[in-house]
Amino acid sequence: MADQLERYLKSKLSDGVDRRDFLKLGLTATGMAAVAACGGNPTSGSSGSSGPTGPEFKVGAVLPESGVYAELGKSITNGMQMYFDSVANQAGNRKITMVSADEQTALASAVAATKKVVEQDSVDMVAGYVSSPNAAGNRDYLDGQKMPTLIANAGVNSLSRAAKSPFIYRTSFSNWQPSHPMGTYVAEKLGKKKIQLVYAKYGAGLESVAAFKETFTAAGGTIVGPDVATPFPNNGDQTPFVQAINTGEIDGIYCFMSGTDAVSFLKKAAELGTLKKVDLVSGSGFFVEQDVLAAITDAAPLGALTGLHWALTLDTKENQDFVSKYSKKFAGRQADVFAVQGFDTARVIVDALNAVKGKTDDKLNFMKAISHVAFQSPRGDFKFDPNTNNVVQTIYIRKVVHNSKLGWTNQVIDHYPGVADPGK
Amino acid sequence: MTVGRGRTLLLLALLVALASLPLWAPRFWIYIGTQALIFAIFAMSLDLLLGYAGLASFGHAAFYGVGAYACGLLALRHVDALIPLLLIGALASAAVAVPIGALSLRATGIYFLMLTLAFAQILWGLAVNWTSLTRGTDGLIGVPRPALPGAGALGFTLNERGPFFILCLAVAVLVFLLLEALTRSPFGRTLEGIRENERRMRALGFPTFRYRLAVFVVGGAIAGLAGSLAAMSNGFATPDLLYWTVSGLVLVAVVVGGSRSLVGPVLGAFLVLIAQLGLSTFVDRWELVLGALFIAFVLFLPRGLVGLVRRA
Repeated sequence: MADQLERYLKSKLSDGVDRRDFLKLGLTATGMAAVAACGGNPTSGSSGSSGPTGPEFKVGAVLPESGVYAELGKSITNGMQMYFDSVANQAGNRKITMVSADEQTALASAVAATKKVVEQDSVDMVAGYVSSPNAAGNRDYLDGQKMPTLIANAGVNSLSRAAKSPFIYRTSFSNWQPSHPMGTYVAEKLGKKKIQLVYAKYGAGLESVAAFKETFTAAGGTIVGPDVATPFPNNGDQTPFVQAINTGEIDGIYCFMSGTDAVSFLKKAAELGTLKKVDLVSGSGFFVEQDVLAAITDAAPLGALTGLHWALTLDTKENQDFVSKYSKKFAGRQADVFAVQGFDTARVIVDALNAVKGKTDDKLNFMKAISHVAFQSPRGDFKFDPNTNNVVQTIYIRKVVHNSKLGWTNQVIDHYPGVADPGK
Repeated sequence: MTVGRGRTLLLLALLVALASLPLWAPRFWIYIGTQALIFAIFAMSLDLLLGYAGLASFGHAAFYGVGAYACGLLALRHVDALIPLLLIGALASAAVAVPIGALSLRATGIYFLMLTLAFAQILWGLAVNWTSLTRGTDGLIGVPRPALPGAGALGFTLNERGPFFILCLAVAVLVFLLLEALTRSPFGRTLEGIRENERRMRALGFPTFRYRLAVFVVGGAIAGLAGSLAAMSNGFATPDLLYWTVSGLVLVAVVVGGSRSLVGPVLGAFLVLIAQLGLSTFVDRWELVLGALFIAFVLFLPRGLVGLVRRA
């Protein structure tokens, strides 16, 4: 009861922040226009020209342009481009340009792409990395080069823990984040105590279900074995895995799968009617994100509850603004969580550049400016955790619904604000 | 005889040009050169099988990957010596090549090709799922490069790009000379005989199966050596290295460069690697362009880049 009251107060409070921040945004915009009118550079005084006069600021975008993650890469690039365009591609009196290199799927390609932007294109910073092994595999090189880097998707926990670097910050999530509150939610709020784990057996799947298990068992829940672990990616038949769900003995499942794996799994589960036999379908939000729902439509698990740091339907001014502008700018393409991550990544770059007035030679000072960036994102409060160099954010509990306007989507029904990776 | 001398002169010129690379090229080029040299060693090992012994293996990446994992595992256990780290890759791959060869070589042609592909995919599955040893899809990362005895006194280490490039060049030259000697030896001639007419060679009293198995193991060992260098160069070993697309890419390099020549695969490896890097910057579907190039070579230049030179 007390905890519900607290959450209610907090949500009211954050409404207030939204409005205040909106005003602040307006003031910043006016201020920026004024600065731009004075030539953009406070030291150059009354030069009168409108464009930036400082050296170009090059951002190396290492994102997949081909292979299975190409669509994710495209969303992140779009999101970044959208924010950079909104500030006329300049900040701190420097013109911002994006230099892209194809991350592809294999680590060897991602390493080559990183070296290309750093050494050949001499970028000032690097942003990107969709897949976790690629982010982790480039970590030592980027750290050694003292290259300011923002991870825009890859969720591998170690980058916020043992392998964190003063030069690498993450704007997306750690795999731990979306799943950790779900354990508490399922066991305490829903009172479901017997759960079977279902996951794609690779880094993100293993780390996600481990985070769920941690809070779920601490709140008195029991994991019913054996776990259903599918190969990753699973290009074969999902039937044996769907049938391995022990419908007779469990209250529900907790699942981590994403993209095509989630699509084939949910389709097969709908065909066999398996998920209708359990009370609760829960999981990490990627399991039923917009890309998956669009592909499976009526095979969607109605009422499934998942945790994620964003939802299309999130009813804040920032989000609704972002969603409508995004689809207008990119020919009707629907916004997704990856586009939000790209948008925020670009904003961190712009805010940090403004804070140091375009002076990025002192890399540690620039990283310090990055660490202080905080704002209202389409996903809610955005700030960095000084202990983990990872974003601190709200995790939303969302329910799969069929909405007359949006079709299949996720409705936000609860939220856990300020979720921060534990750092160890 | 003049053709032979021309070839030697050309190769020496190429060697000098490559050896001077660290002196004038930008750092990124040295990196690309290193990657291409490692890929060239890998391609030469496939040429031994495909060109000389007529064994179209479609699972050669297995040996490259096993070599990389063997080197990575040993280096992560604090073995800090160049020669053992290089040799472990070759030895591990040779050990894996013996059973795979013994089984696959019972078939020929397309069946042999499918069997090698299947074995390579099994090893890939092992690399993905044996997480306690291989760390699954994340792979082994942070593989350190070994110290070079005596290099410290001269003021350089293998962690610098130039010296490491020279190391790869030296290994590539040694492998080239070894394979050249091997293919010109009676052993190599026998292999060519088996390729052309195995039944006749058997009738002449040659234990042909043993010859084919021997060359399969030698090819695997050299691919493993390339894998060792790859693990040191990149600092990682991941399941991707064993995936069938890598087997396909090296096959393309050999065919485009020109098989049965040893120089051809080297040229092919450089071309494929540079195409992959250069093209992926400009077109999303760079594999499509490479595929078209491959078809064009098979149709119009079946002897590859080397065929161009020889014809001229």
